[in-house]
Amino acid sequence: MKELNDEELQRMFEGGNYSSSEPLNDDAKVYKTLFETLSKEPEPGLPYDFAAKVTRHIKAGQKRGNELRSNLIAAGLFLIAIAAACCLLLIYTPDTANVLSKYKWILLLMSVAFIAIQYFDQKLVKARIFNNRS
Amino acid sequence: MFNEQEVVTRVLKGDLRAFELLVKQYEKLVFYVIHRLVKDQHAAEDICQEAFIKVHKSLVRFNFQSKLSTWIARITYLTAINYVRKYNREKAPEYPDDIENYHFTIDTPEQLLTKKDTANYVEQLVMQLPEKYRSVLTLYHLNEFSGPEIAVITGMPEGTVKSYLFRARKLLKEKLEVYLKHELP
Repeated sequence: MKELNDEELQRMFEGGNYSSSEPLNDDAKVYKTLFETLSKEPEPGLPYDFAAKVTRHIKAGQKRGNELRSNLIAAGLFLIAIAAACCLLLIYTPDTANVLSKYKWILLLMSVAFIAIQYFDQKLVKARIFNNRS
Repeated sequence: MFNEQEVVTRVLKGDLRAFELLVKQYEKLVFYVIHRLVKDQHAAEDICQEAFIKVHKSLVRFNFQSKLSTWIARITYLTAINYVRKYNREKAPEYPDDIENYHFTIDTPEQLLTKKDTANYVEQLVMQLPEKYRSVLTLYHLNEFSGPEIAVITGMPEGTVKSYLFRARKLLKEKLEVYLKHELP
């Protein structure tokens, strides 16, 4: 085999332009070993069920997103219902305006507390019940 | 046979089974890139998962102008690089500007014991190279990407990719030559 420099040797092995029957000089032999070694797959690889794990993770993320959206919609509807009830009360019994004004912070706090209880009930208690069942 | 256009369309319609097929198709590619940049096996698995989650989120922006494998490899490369820089877990050594002057630290007695075979030895040498050299070598030899594709994935100019490949392999060859002389009868 004629003498080749590093660049030529690398190009030869990159393209696979050598005949296995052709005797290789020392440099070429080392490059051949290096190219073969660099192409070896690393061990260990990913677990067998990696793809399933990734899709489970994405599904869980989507479920969390959907639950959050539903909870926000429910909370919004609840607040709208409270506001509508107050409006109706003011329209049909204007005298209650003073009472509503006096207890507005308590009413607001009760509404927020109700939403918070519903949220934590779903998040902690129901989730634990379902986890224990499965 | 894996039809990337059909699979991408199904994933975009919300089909998670199609995404599972996509993961199976490209998990080796993703793992090879991450394995060479992140040494911790458990962290590597987490980053593989993170990379695929990013792929799932960004798939809507994939416009088939490049190969899907190149696009996934770019997301993977950036995810791994971000992780390495953010956590700096590897305590990367200071690399000289001129890589030809780089000295490997493989010849300590402990490391000599692990020189079980050539593959192990080369793997240890590769892991000591700067991350850009490691990435280029992996993308070329394990993932079988071409020079222009590696340039797209890493964001380096094609000339730099070729130069890194050449210099890394020359450096590894010099070390391997010495090793083989001592090992082989």
